[in-house]
This record gives sequence, C-alpha cells and structure tokens, in this order.
Amino acid sequence: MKEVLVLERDRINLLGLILANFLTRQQADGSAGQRKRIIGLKGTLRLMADGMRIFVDFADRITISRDRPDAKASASVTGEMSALVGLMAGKGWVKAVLTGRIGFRGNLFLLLRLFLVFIFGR
Amino acid sequence: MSVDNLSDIFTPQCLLLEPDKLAEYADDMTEAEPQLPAAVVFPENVEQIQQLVVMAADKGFTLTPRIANQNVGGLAIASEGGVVVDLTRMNSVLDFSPTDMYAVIEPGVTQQQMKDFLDEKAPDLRIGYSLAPPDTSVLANCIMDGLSNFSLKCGSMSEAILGLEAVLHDGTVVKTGAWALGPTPYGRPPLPDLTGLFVAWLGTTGIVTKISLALWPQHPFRRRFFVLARETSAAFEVVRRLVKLELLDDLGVLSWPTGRMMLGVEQPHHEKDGGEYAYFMYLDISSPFAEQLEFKVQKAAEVFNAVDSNGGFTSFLDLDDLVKAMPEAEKFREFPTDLEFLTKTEGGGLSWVGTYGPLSTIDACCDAGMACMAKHGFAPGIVCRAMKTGHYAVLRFVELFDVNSPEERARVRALNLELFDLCLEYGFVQYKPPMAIIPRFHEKLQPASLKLMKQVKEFMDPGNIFNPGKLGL
Repeated sequence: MKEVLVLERDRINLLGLILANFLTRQQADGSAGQRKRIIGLKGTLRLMADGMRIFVDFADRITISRDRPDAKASASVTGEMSALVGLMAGKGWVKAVLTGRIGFRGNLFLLLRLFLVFIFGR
Repeated sequence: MSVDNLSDIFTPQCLLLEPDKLAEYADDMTEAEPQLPAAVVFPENVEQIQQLVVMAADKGFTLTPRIANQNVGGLAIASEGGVVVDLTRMNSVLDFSPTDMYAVIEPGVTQQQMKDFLDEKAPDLRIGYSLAPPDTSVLANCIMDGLSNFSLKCGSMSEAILGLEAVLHDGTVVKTGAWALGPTPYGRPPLPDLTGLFVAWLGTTGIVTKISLALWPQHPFRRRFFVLARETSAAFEVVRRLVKLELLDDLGVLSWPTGRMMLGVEQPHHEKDGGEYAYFMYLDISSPFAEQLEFKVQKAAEVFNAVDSNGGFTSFLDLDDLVKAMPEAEKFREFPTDLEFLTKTEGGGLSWVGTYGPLSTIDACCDAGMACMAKHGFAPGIVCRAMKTGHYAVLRFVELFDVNSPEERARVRALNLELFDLCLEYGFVQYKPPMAIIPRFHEKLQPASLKLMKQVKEFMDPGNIFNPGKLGL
C-alpha cells in the first residue's frame, strides 16, 4: 500500500482532501487490482476543478500539496467539480469527457491509469 | 441545603451520591466552568418529580434538568449544592395520532427513538431532527428553542410544540394549549398561550414532563443536493430567492472549514486556500409525486443560474454521487446523524455562538463574524439555515478547542463575547445563551423586557429552585 501524504493538511483545499481520502480508501477497501493500479501510478499531476488546484506527486508514496506555480506537472486534469465527483463515483465519466466537462493533457500513461482508478473506484 | 432525604423518593438505583460518579455530571463539552452536583436523581414518573420539587423547595436545594447534555451552553451544569435531575429514564411515546399528526412524548425520548418509532408506526410522517447526536432529547430541543432539518417549514422546534405538561414550583402539574381543556393536544390555540412560560426559559420556570409534538407529512420522493458557492452575497441571495418559492424542505449554508472538518481536519487553518469555494450549500427537496420533485429540482437550479451563471456556483452535486466519492458525506444522508467530527474530537471541546436573525442582514453578519473568528485564530466554521419560510435564519459560529486547556477555554470565552455583541448589531440574537454571556444579555435587553422576565421568574419560581443562574434572573 502506498502512503498518502497530505502536506499542510490544515490548509489544503477540499479537492485535495477528497482525493486523499479517495486514494487511501481505495487501497484499504478496494480490490487487489485497484491497489495494483494505484501502486502503478508514476508521475506528477496538477488537478484543477472550478478554480481549486492541487499538485499530486505519485512516487514511492503519494504526496498531495497545495499547487505551486513553479511546480512542473507531467499531466493535468481540469474539470467541473460535479464532473470530477461523478468521475470518482464511477458515474457519467464518458459523457463528461466527451462534452468537455473534464479535460486532460500530458502523460497519457499516467492519465489512463488514473482514470482506471477512478472508474473502478468503490 | 440538604439532599439527605432524597432516598425517601428515589431507590438506590435512581440516586447517585458518590463523588466519583457525580463527576460525570459536573461539566459538558463547552468552556463553561465545571460544578460538581450534590446528587443526581433519575425520576421514572411525574409523581417522583412532584415530590422532588416539593422537597427542594422545603430543603432549599436547586434542580437542574438534564438529558443528553448536548446543549452547547453549560445549561445542564448544576449550581453549587444543586441536584441534577436526569430525565433519561422517562422515555416513552405515550400517545400518538397519525390522523391528527401529533405524538405525546416524555423528556427522555431521543431523536433516534422518535425516528425508529415513526419508521415503524407511520413512515408517512416525520419530525425535524437537529444536528445534535441521535441520543439527544427531542423534548429538550423543542423547549430550548433549538432547530432542526425541518425548520425551513416549521421554524424553531418550539413551534412544533402543540401543548405541554410541566411540574410547577409547588409540585402541581399544569397542562398548556388546548390540552388544558380537552383530551386532544392538537395545538396551542385558542387559549392564552401558557406554553411560552416554559419555552426558552432553560428550565428556570418548571420541569417539563411531556410535550405534544407536531408531526409532518413525509413525502416518498426525496433528493438531497450540495452546491459549492464562491461568494457570501450570492449564496444568501440564492437563499432569499429560494425560500419564497417554497420548493425546499431544508436549505443550509456551511462555510469551508466545516467541509474540511468533515474530512478529518480538526483544526483547519483560518485562511482558505486560493480558489477554494467559500460555502457548501445543501438542499433537501421532497414531493408526493416524482414529476413534481424533478420540477422542483429544475426550478431550484434556475435560481442559482439567475443569481450567478459565471462560476459562482458549482452544478448540483447529488448526495448519492458525493457519498460514493466521499463516504464522509454519508453523515448527511439520513437524520438524525452523529457529526463526530464536531462532537468527538481530540480536544473534546465544542462551543458556538448560535443566533437567530433576519435574512436581510445575514450576509454582512456572516462576513463580519468570520473575520472576527479569523482575528482570534479560529477557522471560521459557520452553519446557517433558513427558517420558517425565510422569516428568519440561524447563524452559528462553531469553535473546536481543547477542553482541558484553561487558555483555550479563555480564548473561546473572549471570542464568544465578541461574537455575541457583533451578531446583535446585525439583529442576530443568541439562543440557548450560556452563563458567560448573561451579563451582556441583560445589558442589551430592553429594561422593560428584563423587568417583566424577572417578574415572571419570581412568579413561577419564588424559591429560585429551578436551574438558578441560567438566564441570570
């Protein structure tokens, strides 16, 4: 299991807390496949939803922090908060991507694995 | 003052005198100063309370009613040498009419008990549940003018009291409302409203032993949504517009620290992250008809768009989706609920300044109160609800702290006094006022009102045996 570390936990925004809880729970309660997918996540991600931004470093552990302008991300996901919540709920993600409510760019390998984590979330 | 004769009324199983056991009854979760009671009694019927009141008047000890001790104001802490009257064992639903939509309940009936009772006997009826834990007394919330998740329709919970029964200072039992004259406790009109002699008096005028509680239709089609809002003014403009359309059962606004607390951050920093939404708004919508429910949802969404269609609000987040992504939100699925992130924290301390006031000034009061909390180094956790179709609203400033730290308690006291004054400037009046703010309360009260309150107290409790000090009368 990969440790999920939240830097400045008292200051991180809701998006960071939701993602941290989601990733922790998926490893604790999810299937073996789901744990494997999370362990396989490598790279850095900027996640933005309706103006909230966080930076996620997937390495030996997952570090979630407040976004920094100078931080270089290998991939980014942008979306409406409701669409991202839907994605984490495994619901309506195809429509959200096709209608542009969720957008992404950068390292496709990381993005594909991340989307699979969301889609297989429970 | 002597409590030696309590065993004449109460069996050993219904009486606590040992100091180590009494210690559990000395305090609550707030910054209020602890006070060890002289005894704790557990009445099992009204006759015992009548005898107790007569004995208290005769021997000169005081009586402080208590049930779950969740009032967040130190109101169930006895005065020196006083007796705590624990009413948890009087916990029956004594009468129930699905046709006339009322239930007669005793003080110890809890929110969860009432929910279970209605689920079994009348799933088409409901009451309003407060955000206090499930083991909290329904009756106490009603007579202390608390609120519920149905307050948008019915106002404060005292307005759900259709009549009550109380033991007076001389041990006599009085009934109020239509119940004083006829067999059915259907409502407070048309007699002079004696119920008010026991509502919001914080147990200082008598001991309430029963209430007739209004029940309301529970519609089968229900949805609950969250919306994130960026600005105070836009959030409350939506509230003001929505209440007039009467689409909703409940409409609340919680500030960003409350959301963080729910996700496990006990002491959020007092500044929000850039870009973070300032508020969670939640909407309860129900209907007897599925088509009408969807119509209501659509119309509610239109109100948000009309106020700000440029990113001021997120789209509606359905609670079911939110729970899948964030199981912590499960706490908001069904009421009553236990918001452990507030009531069972590491520091153990919870306090607030809870006020009722007008929707016209709530934005300004909210902003000023949040700035005041930040100035004192507290994360500005606020909870608001529109009440009684928008005639007024609740605005609460919530503080979590270390209850064992004298410095923290002093900080909370100082902040609460400042918030009390500040809220009053905007027309927001504190309900369930804790002892610490009572001198301020008296300073600000209209002199004629204060005089009349003192006269009523003197008339109702000439020996000053009922919860003395609370309200400072």
